Amino acid sequence: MDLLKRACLYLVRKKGKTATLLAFLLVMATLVLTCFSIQSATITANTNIKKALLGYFTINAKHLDTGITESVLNQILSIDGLSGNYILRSYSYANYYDTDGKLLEISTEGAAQTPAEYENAGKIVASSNSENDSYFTEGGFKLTEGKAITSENGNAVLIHEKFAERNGLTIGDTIQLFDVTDKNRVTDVTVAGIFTSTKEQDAIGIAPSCDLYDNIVFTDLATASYLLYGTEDETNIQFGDFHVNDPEELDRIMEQVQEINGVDWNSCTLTCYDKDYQNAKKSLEGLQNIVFIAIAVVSAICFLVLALFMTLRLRSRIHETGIYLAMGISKGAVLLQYLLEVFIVAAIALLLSYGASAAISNQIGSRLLSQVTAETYETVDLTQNAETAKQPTEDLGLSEIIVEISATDYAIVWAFGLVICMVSTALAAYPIMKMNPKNILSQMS
Amino acid sequence: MMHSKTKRNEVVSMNIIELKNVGYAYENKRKVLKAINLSLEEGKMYAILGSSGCGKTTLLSLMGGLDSPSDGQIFYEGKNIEKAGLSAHRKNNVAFIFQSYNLIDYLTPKENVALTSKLPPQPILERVGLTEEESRRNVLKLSGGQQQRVAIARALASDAKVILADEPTGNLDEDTAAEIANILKECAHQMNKCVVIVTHSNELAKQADEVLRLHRGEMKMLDRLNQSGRSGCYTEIVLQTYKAFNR
Amino acid sequence: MNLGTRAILYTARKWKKTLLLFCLLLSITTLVLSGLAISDAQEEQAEELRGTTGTSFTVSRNTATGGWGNGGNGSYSTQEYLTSDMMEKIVAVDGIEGYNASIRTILCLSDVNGQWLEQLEPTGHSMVDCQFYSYSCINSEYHSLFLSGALEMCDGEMLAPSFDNGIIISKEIADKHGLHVGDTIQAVNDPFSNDKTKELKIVGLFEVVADKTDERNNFNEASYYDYANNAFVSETTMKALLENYEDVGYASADFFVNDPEQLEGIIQQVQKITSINWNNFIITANDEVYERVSSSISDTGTLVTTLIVLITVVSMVLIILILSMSIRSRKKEMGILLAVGIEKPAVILQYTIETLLIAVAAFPLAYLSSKQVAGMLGTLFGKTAESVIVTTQHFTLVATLGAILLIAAVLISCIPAMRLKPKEILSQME
Repeated sequence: MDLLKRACLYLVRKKGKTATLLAFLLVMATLVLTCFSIQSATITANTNIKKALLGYFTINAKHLDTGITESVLNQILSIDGLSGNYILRSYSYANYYDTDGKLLEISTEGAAQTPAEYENAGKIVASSNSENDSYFTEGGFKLTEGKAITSENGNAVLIHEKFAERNGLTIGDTIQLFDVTDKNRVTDVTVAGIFTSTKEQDAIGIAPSCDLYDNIVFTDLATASYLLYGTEDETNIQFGDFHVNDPEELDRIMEQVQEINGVDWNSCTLTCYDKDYQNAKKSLEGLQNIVFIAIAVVSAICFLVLALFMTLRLRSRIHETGIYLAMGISKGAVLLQYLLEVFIVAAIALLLSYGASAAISNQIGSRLLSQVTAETYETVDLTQNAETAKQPTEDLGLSEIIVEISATDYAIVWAFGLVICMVSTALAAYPIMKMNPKNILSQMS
Repeated sequence: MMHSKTKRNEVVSMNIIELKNVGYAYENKRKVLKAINLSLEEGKMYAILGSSGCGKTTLLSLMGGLDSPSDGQIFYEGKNIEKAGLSAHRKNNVAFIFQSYNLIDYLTPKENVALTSKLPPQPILERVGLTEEESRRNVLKLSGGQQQRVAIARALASDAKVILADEPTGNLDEDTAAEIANILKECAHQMNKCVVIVTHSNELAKQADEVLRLHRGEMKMLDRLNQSGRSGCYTEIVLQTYKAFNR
Repeated sequence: MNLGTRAILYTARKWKKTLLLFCLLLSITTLVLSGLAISDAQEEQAEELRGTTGTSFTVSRNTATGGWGNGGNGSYSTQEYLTSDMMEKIVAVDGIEGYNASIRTILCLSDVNGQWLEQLEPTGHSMVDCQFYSYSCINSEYHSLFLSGALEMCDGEMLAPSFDNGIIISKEIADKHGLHVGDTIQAVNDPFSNDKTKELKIVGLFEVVADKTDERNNFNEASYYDYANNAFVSETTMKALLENYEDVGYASADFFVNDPEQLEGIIQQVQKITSINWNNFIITANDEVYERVSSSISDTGTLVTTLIVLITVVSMVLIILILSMSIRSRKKEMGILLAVGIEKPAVILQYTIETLLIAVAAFPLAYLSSKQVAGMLGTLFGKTAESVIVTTQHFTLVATLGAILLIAAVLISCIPAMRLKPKEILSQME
């Protein structure tokens, strides 16, 4: 009778023992597999935290004659590690006229001395989305009528309600923006919205009239680009805030940006903003370490328990070993039979554990917040693709935390599981195999 | 008697197992066997008698290659069994029958017999008196006698020329014991095996062709026990030593 | 022979098996104990992480409910200011880590000899070039410019509430004028009035990190001053410098909380302070950073908690499996004991005592080993595990539940054997 048959018969006839072993290995394999899936899920969660801490860098290209051109922008955006969220901004000054060429009246109340040429000018603020501008997010501006300006709108402006009142403007009216620096750039724009300021301007007495809240006009980037650079079909920008996936990589990405040719990077200022990440960094690492340690502890102890269990199990088979040896079956063959039995059961357990841990992982996954609630954060999209920007789950660009067993993890568990089973069986068998058959038989009777 | 037989057959290789000055001591140096010399032939059933703890089982273990002697050598068909390998010796040359049967509990009688043999197990099992149905049962559900029959069948099937039985009837009732003894005798006489039984039962020893007595680690060869059943009446004939035997 | 003796004898005589069971119990208990400690550590780390999001709430004057006045510089709100007294009451609410409020003014700074200190990029007008945009701080570390990372301390220390007559200036200004931490300078609000001039000691220097020329920041008064031309003084100093002015007070104050999860509750507590007229003030929560990361943090928490629950359940299953295996292998013994007339409960009790004897040794040792295991594995992979601490509560919990589980496991394991008659048990043996 060959040992494969013996091994199979043992497994079939000793149903209780086989079931115990199977249950044991199954539980172990499921635990370790689930551990691994949890480990990779926490890595995703960690990446998400890092991403959500919104590390970004700002390029200040105010001093470049052409600003950041579209081709440079595309090169920047192709750098690996950017999250795809970015805000582009331009600032300028313009004189305001109505369509008849009549100068529109600006407020001068409380203004400080205004530089020459700027007496009738107001500040032009352009951004990929006016809602994200600091005047709105921090300065207390609020849109009362109309819509915010995004890169979709062309030749649109938002004006202050007092400015609108003063000049009898309403939504849909057209005004003209004149470049202040005498380059004879003029463009027609439509009033798309009216805003108000809820906080008092504390710079009263210091700010020149063009900077007064009442005189600020928000417009789109293309309009600002024309006023600043005279571009017709292209949109050049002054400032860009580029968010990265991992704030840890900010330095690398900023270096890569400065390797882009054709730009005088010395005239630009690159600033990295990762204070939130820097604050959280240590705790974040601590959290990640703890998860790692948990996995390490579980894996290590699982393997230890597995080895001990195998030893315990094999000890109850000393008797049988003695009989085999007395019958002239070689030690090697007996050991091989035991190994084969464990191998078969382990293989079944590992197969089953995939299903078991997949089910558990699924359960865990469904309990995760990130899969239940949608983030409410906004993306800015210059590609004029409104659909993608509106999907709520894409907002922060966080990856969905998927708790599942990866093929590599499964392979690792297979390899380690089998090796540990085999080695611990062999180690447990060693003392028995070292005894001479007479001692084994005398021990059993 | 030994002499005459050797002379009659005139073939030394008839001695399938030979023990030369075999001694055995436990690790605590207590000697249980002292310079045993013994020759066993095919076609005969031997009984080794002795009181408990006199080293009977140890002697059987040594012959069967379950253990190595501290001194001396054991030969199978003239070859030192240790040189040929104890495991191979166990596998090819000897078969054990134990008092406690030692069947593999998750195998049926058939499968137990088939463990070391390629012969069809059923005829052998039938020969020792097991029915077809009994041969398929869980071995633990057989009676003691039946289990011992399976053990004998397993030994027979192994094709070994030497069968070593350690108190094979020790756990059995008188009638069953007698049947087992007969089967063993048949093995020796009809199948030309060398059957060595270690026992303290005179009834069993009576069935043997030759009876040896182990006393304080030394071997005495006795005559065949009186067939008439006058137990306890041994006739001491020769104290054989290997040297004497050989020359 | 009583069953206690039998139990002890079994444990001692079958020492190899006892040892194996002991090792198994030890490992599994260590696993569970480490798991509990890890779970706690995770919670602690998550809380710490939440704490780093700088979550705060701002109490500010409600200009909508107050009146408006008119002055030379345009209209201004006449709403009441936030007083120190109010802020102290608010900060007394549990869970608030610190707070800051600022009064801003433009100070003229000079050295001890009365020589005006010049700004970083002077305009050429001496009376403008000595102006520094100054903030008073209760805790300068909570000032938004420091919190946002726009400025970073590079020398000296932050202004604590206890600091009096101290000033923090930029390193660039200090370098320009050869000043160092510990030097004394003079400050005055308006040199052309009878405002008091105070001598202030430089307690710290800051470095400018942010890009001031980024127009994004240019929507308020401060934006007309380079960051390098900012200065920070303590509350009492500012009040002394501005003692000639009536309409000076805090328009708003920021209160920072330890745990953003508690923010809502804390704000509710604050609103219950009756001595403050909440009609005149608004509270706004600043927890956007926390809001962004909170779901990911809580996901990590869920993952780790599930892991620990899984560990505990698996450990329980393992213990039952192991004990049932070990007891099943003693069926014969059980049959013999029953055959000699020992009652079934006595046999079960013996097994229970044996198991508990092992547990008594294994549990305390697991307490010690679990204290080591996390640290050991941590250092092995170069990760710190300082926060993983096994407490006596963990131990008590595991020991109590463990003992109950062990007894239950023995009972469950005995069921199959106990249902058989002694003869059946014996006949099953070879």
